[in-house]
Amino acid sequence: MNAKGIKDKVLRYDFILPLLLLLFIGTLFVKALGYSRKSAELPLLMGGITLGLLALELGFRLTGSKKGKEIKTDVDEKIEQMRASVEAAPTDDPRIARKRLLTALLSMVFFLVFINIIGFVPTSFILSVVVIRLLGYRQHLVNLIFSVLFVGGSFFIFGYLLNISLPVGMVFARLFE
Amino acid sequence: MDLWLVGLKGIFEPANLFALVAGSIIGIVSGILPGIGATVMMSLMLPFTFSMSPAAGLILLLSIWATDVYGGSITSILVNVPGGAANVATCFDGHPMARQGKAGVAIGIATMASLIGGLFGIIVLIFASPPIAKFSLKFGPAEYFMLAIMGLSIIATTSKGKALKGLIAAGFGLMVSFMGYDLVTGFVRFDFGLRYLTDGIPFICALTGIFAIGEALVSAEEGGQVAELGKVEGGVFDGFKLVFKYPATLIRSMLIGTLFGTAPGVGISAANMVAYSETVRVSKHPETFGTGNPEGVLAPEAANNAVQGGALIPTLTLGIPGSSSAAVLLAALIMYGLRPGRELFTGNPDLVYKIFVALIFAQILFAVIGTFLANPFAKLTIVPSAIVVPTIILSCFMGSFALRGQIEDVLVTAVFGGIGYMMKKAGYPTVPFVLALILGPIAEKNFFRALLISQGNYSIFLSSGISIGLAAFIIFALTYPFLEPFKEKLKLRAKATFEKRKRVPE
Repeated sequence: MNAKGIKDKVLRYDFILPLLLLLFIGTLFVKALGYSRKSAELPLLMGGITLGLLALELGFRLTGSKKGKEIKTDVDEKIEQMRASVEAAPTDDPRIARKRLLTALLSMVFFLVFINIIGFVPTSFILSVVVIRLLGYRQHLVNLIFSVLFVGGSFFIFGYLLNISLPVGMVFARLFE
Repeated sequence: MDLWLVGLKGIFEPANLFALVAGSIIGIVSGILPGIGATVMMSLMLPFTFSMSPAAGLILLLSIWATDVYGGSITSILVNVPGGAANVATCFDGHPMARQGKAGVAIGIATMASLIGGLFGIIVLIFASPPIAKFSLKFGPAEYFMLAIMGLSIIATTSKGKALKGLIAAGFGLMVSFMGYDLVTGFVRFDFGLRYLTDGIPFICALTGIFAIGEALVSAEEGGQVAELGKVEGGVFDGFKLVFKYPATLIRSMLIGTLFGTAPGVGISAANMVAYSETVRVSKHPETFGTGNPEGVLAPEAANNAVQGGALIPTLTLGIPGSSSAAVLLAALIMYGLRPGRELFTGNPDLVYKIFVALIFAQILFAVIGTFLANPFAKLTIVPSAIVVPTIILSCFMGSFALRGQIEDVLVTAVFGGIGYMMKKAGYPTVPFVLALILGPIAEKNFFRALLISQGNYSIFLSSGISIGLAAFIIFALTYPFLEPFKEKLKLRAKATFEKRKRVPE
C-alpha cells in the first residue's frame, strides 16, 4: 500500500473515530487499574472487551477486509435515493458541504464563548441570523423575522413560563448595574 | 374502571391537556420536517420536561412519539420522501395516488389506517403490560443485570452489517456511564480532576447532543430543500371509507406491526415493509401495487402505527427500549425516578392510566389534525435545512442550560453533538451508546447487589431459569449477526446445487 493509499484510509471518519475511542477508552482502562477492586471490576471488564473490539475494527479498516465492510440496508438506500430525487439544492460539492459543517460547528463555539459575555438574547439572535445566512438561505427579511420570533419566543418560554434565569452577560450586567 | 376514570380525569388537567395537544402537533411537525423525527424531537424536548410534572412530561413525549409516524406519511404521499424508515413503503403507492390527483384519498386512507392501527397497538399494550410487569416480580438483581446486558446485546447487534460497530458503541456508552460517583463504593471515577465530572456525564445532555445535534450537523453538511410539494385535493373522507373495504389487510398489518414492535431494535423500519410485502404476496392482483393501489397505503400505515404500542410493552414492563425513541422515553422515566416494571404499574397506577388515555387521545388528535389541516402542515416540508439546523442547535443548548443553569452542560451537549455526528458519518449506531449510558448504572448496581447476595459467588448469574434463559439469548444475540455470512454461503451453495440438479438431464 502506498502513502496516498494509507492517507486515504486514515483520513476517514470510520478510521478516526475508532482511533479516538481507542485513545479515550484506553485512558479510562489504564486509570481503572489504579482503583479498588469493586470500583474497577466492571470498567476493566467492559473496557477490555471494547478495546479488543476496537482493535478488530481498526484491523479490518487497515487491511480493507470485507468483514469490516458495513452493509447499507435497502431501507437506508431507498430513503437516500428518494431524498436525492426531490431535493432542489444538492450539495455534491464536498467543499460546500465542509463549509456548511464548519459554519454549524463554529456557531456552537460562538454560543459557548459569547453567552456569558453578551448574554442569551443577543448571542442567540446573532447566531440564528448569521447561521441561516451562511447555510445558504438568502431571504434576509424572512431570516430576520424568524430569528426575532424564535429568540423572543424562547426568551418568553424560558424566562416567564419555565422561570429559568437566562444569562444576561457581563457587558449588559455592567450596563444595568 | 376507577383507574380509567382517574386517567380520563387526569388528561383534562390543564398541564396534561396542553402537553397532549402540543405534543401531538409537535409530533406531526417532526414527522413532516426533513431530517427530524421522533427521536430528535423527543431528545430536544426532554430537558424541557424536567420542569414539568411526570405525567405532563411523559404525555408530551408520548404524544410526539405517537403522532410522528403519521406526520411522515404526509410527506411520503405528497413528496415521495419518507418522513423516516417507518414510512418508506407508503411512498410506493401513496405518491402514485397523489400524482393521479388522489392525494386526499391517500391521506384519508393513511389517517384512518394509522388511527385504527395505533389504537390496536395501544389495546394490546393495555392488556399485555400488566401480566408481563407481574412476571418481572420474579426478577432479582442477577436477572436485572442479565436483562440489561441482553437489551444492550440485542440493540447493539440488530443493525444489519453493523454488529461490531454496535457493540463498540455500547462499550463506549458503558465506559462513559462509569464516569463520576461509583454507586456502590461512593468513589469518584474518571473525573480527570474536574469537579464537574464528579457527578458524571449528565445523560440528558449526552442524549440530546448525540441524537439532536448530531443529526443537525449532518443536515447542515448535506443541506438541501425539497423542491416540489404536492397539494392535498379532496377525497379525504373517501379514503376513510376505503379502509373498511379491506378488513383482512387491515387486521394482518396491525398484527404484524404489534408483533414487530415488541422486538427491540427491529420494529419500526421492518414492520411497514413486511406488512406491504405480505399484502402484495397474498393479493390476487400484485401487478397493481406500485401504481396507486389503496391497500399499498393501508398496509404500511396500519403496521407502522401498531408498532408504537408493541414497542412500549418491553419499555414499560422490563425497561428494554424497542427503539431509539423508546430509549429517550426510558431516559425520561429514569429522570423522574420511575422504574419500569412491576413498580411502575403498582406504585404509579394513576400515571400509567394517564399515559394509556393520552396515547388514545393522541391517536384521535392526529386523525382530526390530518383530516382538516394536512395542507398547511404539508407546507412544512419545504422548510430549508438552513432554518432547521440553527433552530435545533439553539433549542438543544437552551434545553441543556435549563437543566441546572450550568454552561458546562451546554458544552457537554456540544461535545456529544460532535461525537454523534462522527458516529453517524462513520456508520456507528447511536442507540446502543445511549442505551448503555442509561442502563450502565442500573447494570452495575444490580451486578454488585447480586454479588452481595451470593457473597461473591458469580454462579448467581446462572442460578435461575430466567437468568439461564437470558444468558442463552445474550449468546444468541451476540453470535447470530456474525454467522450471517456463513448462512448466506450455505444458501448460495444450496441454490447452486438445486440449479445444477435442474439442468442435469434425466
